[in-house]
Amino acid sequence: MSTQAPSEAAEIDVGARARAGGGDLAGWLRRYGVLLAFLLIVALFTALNPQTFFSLDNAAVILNNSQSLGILALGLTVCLVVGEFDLSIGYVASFIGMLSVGVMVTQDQGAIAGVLAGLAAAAAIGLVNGLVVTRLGVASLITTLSVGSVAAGLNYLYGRGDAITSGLPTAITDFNRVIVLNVRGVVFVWLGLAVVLWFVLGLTEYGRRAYAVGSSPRAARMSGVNVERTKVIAFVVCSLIAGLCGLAIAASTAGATPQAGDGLLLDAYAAAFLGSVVLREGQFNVVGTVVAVLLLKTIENGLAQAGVDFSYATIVKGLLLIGAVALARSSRRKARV
Amino acid sequence: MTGAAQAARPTAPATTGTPFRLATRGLTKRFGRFTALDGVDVEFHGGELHALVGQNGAGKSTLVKILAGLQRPDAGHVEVDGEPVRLRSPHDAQRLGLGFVHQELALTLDQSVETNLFLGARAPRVRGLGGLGVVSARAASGTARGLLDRVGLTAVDPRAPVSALSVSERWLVAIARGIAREERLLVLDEPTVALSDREVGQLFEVVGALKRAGVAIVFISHRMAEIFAVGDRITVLKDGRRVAAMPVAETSPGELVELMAGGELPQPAEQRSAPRGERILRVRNLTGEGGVRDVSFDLHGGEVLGLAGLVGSRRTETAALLTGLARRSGGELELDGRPYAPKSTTRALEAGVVMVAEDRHDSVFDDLSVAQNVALSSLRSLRRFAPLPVIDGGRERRAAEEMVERLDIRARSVREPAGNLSGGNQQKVVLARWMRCGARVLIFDEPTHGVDVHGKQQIYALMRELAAAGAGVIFISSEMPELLQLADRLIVLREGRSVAELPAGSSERDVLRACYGETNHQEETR
Repeated sequence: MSTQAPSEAAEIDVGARARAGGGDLAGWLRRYGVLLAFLLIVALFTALNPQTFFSLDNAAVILNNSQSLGILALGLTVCLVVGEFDLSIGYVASFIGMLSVGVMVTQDQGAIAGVLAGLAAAAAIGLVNGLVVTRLGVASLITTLSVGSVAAGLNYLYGRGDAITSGLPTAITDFNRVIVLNVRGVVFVWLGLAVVLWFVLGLTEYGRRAYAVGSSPRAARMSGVNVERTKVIAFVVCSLIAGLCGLAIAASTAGATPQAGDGLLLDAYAAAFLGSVVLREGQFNVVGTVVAVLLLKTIENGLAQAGVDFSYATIVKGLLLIGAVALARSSRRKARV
Repeated sequence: MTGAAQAARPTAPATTGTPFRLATRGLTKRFGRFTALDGVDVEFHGGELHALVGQNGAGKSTLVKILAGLQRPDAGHVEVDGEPVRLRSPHDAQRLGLGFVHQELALTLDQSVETNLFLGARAPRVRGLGGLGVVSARAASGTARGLLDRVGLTAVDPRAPVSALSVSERWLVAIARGIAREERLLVLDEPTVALSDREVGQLFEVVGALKRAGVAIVFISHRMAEIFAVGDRITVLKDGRRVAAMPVAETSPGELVELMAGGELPQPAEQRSAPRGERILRVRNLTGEGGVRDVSFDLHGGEVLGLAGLVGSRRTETAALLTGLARRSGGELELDGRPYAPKSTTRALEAGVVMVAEDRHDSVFDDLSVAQNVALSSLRSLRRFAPLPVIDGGRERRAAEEMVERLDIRARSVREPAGNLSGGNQQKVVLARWMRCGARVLIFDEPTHGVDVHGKQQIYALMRELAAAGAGVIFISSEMPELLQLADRLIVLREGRSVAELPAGSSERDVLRACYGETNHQEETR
């Protein structure tokens, strides 16, 4: 049956390769285009701010500024891999920050109790998201938008909208200490988490199932994958990491404000979508998300140094999200002929 | 099939003096390294039924997609009546009067027949307000009535939702819409797959009338008998090239198969191997979701059990109950003598009961690699450190490569996205997934649906091979010849009930009788 096949296939391959020519450049650009853009942006800002931009100190500043967004975007990536959205993460980060710090400071229960209470609440919110989406069949966009609103409400109910700016246990604020070359501890929490998730999504059975569910839930079910469980786990992990983001903000600001994480939502989406075209052709992945977070924060840093008004930076980020999603879509389409 | 189709064949094909002519000149389309079309010239004439044949991946779909404005050629162009035309979007195609009807009919199911008839066509307007696009409801239903009558749907109410229509009626509605749009070329992609013989006859009658009215018909089919019953001209594609174009009268099915296969005829399927093993699966009075009312049969290791039945006999639904996709409400299932209650596909898979779905999109992950597609259901065997759920990437790749070689899957590498493969090869990728997880009961639901001659033989051989290795194979097919050729035994379902068991060597007539309920009661199993 197959005696003829290998030689035939080889012939087709050789012929096609000879004809292809320019096709490979496009593929290369789809995978490495964002990295190339990153280099160009660094070069541009170096030219604009020759004194300050291209230095180890500034690199440390960018890293330190990236950590909370970086953590949030990692969690979001897990949710996007299984093909669902989570719009509650910004509010969850804010709420968990307030809750944990409240337990530590206002209720004086210590650092460990605060962290555990916060993460437990975050996991519970993720579980609600996951169960509503998988059991009740409500679209994740609607579910998480509503749950985000609930989280925001609980936030004010618990903390009455007051910021806590002092009295944080040193066990928490110690994470903001400089470890090496002006890089602070929280950055290593972020990068450590990235390594763990890179491993989980890339090399474990859960990762394989998660990508399968994201690619086609029907086919995943046919293949014996427990689609609901895979999605619920993704929602819980995403929410848990949003809670961790709230803690990271608390550590780096030595306090908690009721809206600390709200503004990170859009940036996290921009990072995850931009990240899906880093090294891959439209597939959400951890390394891409990390690179994209650094890219976003580099742009922010460069614009600020060049004296561009903050309002413009916000506009640029909004446009960047649309651009990133469009890029991810077209890349995915072109990768599959 | 043949009889009905022949009845619809016009006595005098109108092939002269046709005003409409569509030609492709040197049409070339590449996808990365793969050349889907390579300088193809084809001419379609009004008043002619032109059959387009070729193996999967020969370039038929690419050609049709270019005509439909869904893809742009890398080289070459399309001419209508001798003039080069612009085909950059489906809108351009519609403007030129090119119509396309395929299996996933572009009808909105919950809207009325009438609404669908005027989708994309100009519905009759209210006089005076016509410029504002106000549709005249009364004139529209009058026109709709006329259109439906023309395609023989005299009993269909234009206000009924499309979802209430049968598959063949939907095909005819789609064709009626083509008439409303005054189409000059109509492409029918595998129109007869889901139809009964009588419905096929009806379809070809309507198509014949359109043809006589000067419409160019392009017909894509894997059914030789139909091509020879109704076709006027034929074009054979192979590996993106046109290898032959001739009047149907000047060729034969044997010659066509040879042209498509490139002179190398596939081996006929192996003779059935009689040694039948232990009973694996025992099904008694199975009832459940999807209209399955009372199905009973036994499946033994080493056999291919055919499930025969007409459309609506609930064969797929029965398979869904066995694989945990649908909920069982009654009856008994036993696997290896122990009660078997597949509450989910995960459980069914663990027990080794799997299905190759009719619709490939239900089992293939387009944007995941071939390796990931193959490995998904047997991840446990690819662990790096046995107790931890960590995958050994190298083992995963080698396992996939082994299956690619064994099943003769045509892919550039196991890292290629499965969506890039042709339909038949995607089917094999799914099969590879099941073979890797040691499935013992494999259900094939219309596995040769839309697969070319060569691919069909490979799938038959694989089913035989699986059975020979001790698995129980359940084969669902609407094509009687392949069912009779391959199955060791046949179970006939009618409206959710198993009504007969027939031995190998039964005739097509025996099976049809059972399907239509004309068997002796003694023959019935229950």
